[in-house]
Amino acid sequence: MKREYPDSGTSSSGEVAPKGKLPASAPPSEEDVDELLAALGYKVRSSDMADVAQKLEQLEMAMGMGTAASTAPVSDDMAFFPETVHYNPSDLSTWLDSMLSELNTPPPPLPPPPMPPPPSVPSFAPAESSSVNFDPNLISQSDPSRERKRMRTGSGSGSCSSSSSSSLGRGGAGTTIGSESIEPAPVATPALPVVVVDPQEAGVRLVHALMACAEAVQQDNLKAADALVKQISLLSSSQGGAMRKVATYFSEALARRIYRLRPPVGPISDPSTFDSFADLLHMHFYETCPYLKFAHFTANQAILEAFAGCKRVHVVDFGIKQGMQWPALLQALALRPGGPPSFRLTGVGPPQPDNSDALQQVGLKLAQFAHTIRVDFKYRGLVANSLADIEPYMLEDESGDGEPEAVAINSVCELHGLLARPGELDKVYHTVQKVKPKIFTVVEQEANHNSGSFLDRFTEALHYYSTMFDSLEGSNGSPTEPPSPGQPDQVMSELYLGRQIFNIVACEGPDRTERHETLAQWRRRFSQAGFDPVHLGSNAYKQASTLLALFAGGDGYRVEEKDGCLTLGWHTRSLIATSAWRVMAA
Amino acid sequence: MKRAVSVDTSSSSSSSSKKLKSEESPSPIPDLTEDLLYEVLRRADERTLGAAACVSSRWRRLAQDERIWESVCLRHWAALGCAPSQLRSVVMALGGFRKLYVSYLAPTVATRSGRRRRWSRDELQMSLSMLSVGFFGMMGGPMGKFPPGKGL
Repeated sequence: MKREYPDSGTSSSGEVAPKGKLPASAPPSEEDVDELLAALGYKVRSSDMADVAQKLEQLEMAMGMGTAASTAPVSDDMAFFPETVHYNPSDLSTWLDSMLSELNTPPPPLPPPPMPPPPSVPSFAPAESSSVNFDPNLISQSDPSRERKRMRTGSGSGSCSSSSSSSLGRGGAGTTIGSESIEPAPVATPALPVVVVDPQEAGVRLVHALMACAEAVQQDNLKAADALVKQISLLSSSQGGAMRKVATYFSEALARRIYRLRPPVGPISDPSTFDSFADLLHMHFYETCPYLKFAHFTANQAILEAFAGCKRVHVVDFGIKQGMQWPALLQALALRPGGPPSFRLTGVGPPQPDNSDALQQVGLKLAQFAHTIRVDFKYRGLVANSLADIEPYMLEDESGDGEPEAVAINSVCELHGLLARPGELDKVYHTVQKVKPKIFTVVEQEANHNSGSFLDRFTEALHYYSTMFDSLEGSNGSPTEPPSPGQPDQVMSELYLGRQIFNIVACEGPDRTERHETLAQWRRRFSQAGFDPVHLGSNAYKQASTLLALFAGGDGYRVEEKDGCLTLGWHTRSLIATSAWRVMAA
Repeated sequence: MKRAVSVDTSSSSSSSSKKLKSEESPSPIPDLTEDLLYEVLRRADERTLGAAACVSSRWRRLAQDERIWESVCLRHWAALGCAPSQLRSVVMALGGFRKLYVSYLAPTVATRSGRRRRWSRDELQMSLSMLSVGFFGMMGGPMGKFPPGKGL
């Protein structure tokens, strides 16, 4: 007994759009229906095409205003879309009318964004009205052509999606996660029947839109950039996982740059809470993924080897933060054959706005730890706004009795900030040369985010952080289900990276402190400054491999050795590099 | 062996001396002295130790003895870089051998396929480093209340 299927209007529109089945519903007149759209299951009269195009762009604007205002990375897009299943989208014209009327009356129920950009919300509204005048020129030209393009490439979507993976560059294997989250896509399609047919295609468009926006910003074409930012928000809502988050952060950063919101507003940048919040994010990042652990363990191994046979040692940490690196070194020294040396630590940190003595607290905690494992321990905290303020006398051994100290200087992601102000790095090199350490361990992000051209910087950063976010996704979500967005550790780690993105994209001059450079660039700087490389031994390599083997999440991590330096990366892309240096023999 | 020796059975296996003693307090588990029990458990593998700890509170106390777990850990390490006493004082201060095994060495067994082999020095060092970091993280202090992260 055959069941009569009801009007396709009640079925999920996901079936209607991609499959191309012609619905049995009462369509507009059969004659002069646009062929290409009909192939996709939409009945639109050729004569109505221009009208439909205009309504589509109106719909896009209406939705774009909604999604652009909430730039929260974990926005619930499901809440935004009203109940659309009972409309028949195949009759595009009337469906658009009903969508527009529905969207214009009730305000869309948006969740409050965790990073509220309050000044930007009122400024969005007037900008909106001005850009509405501008946009039709930009979009209506491209809209029908876009539609056409969509139809043609629809049949060739296979080839298109393969190019989408490659266009997202290295580590792109992970970014097509968008296709895994099948759930959002079908519900998204009724609202954007032409714009978003295939999440992978939307991913390509998203990347293109991001690049186009960056280019517009570089050319100072702020109106175009603004329009593109809105498009980006729309497109990124069709994606899932890492791609969406990266796109959200980058579009937020671009928006901040366009609207000159510097320094960025919100709890992240509020000076009174800045440092403690930054430390919290740093801790979460440390726990969630292996990059910082890799940095600490490989640097510690180099320091341990450099201190072989020394009875009195001194470590200078250029950014002590919570002191997480040092318990492991203290323990390794405690288990040294022949017993531990007497250990002195100098921790450098920024001044605390609330006058709390965070440096001293870290020192006390480490002292207690050292006491537990019976290592003779001394600590000194150095408060400095910049590493360039450190003078050699501050690092001197005040007791000055008996054996001279063996000194190790350690810097984890602290040197790139010095490039923001001219002369600071040279001053630090000079100070280090005076101190004559046995070893100078340096860990830095393996990327060039300091190019003079904004567009180059943007492109580099997009690739780098896409890979980073992929690795977070890959090691936290289970392979069988899409990762739940609410995991606090992961969200905090993403926020930690997001702040770096904001700095790279939205800031300039001395404010732009995230001036990462590649290992090759640092090598040049170090050798010009009079340093010789120290090869990290096989022990450090083995330690790193063991760390990854123990770190159960994600097999995508790779440790590589490059000319005596070690890098940790995700699949084929290196993300962080450890190197060691000593003062060139005179 | 554990289940077979029951005081109530008429099997004559363990001789009359046991029967004489058992008249005072019947117990279903073997009435071994502490030393003997310790010697038995000392040679047991980790899974057996885990099971033994579930038998009774007395057995649990013995199965969780640090000396036993020290030998469990040392049994698997290829070469020690330092004197055993040195290792002992550090590990005991940072939470003990059982914690070291359970939190940081057992996961490597899970990831390893095939027969158990001796652990390498790197695995030893890594597990000790993680033990230190874990201990430090749990210490009271500015971030002492920070919840430990999942996994490592």
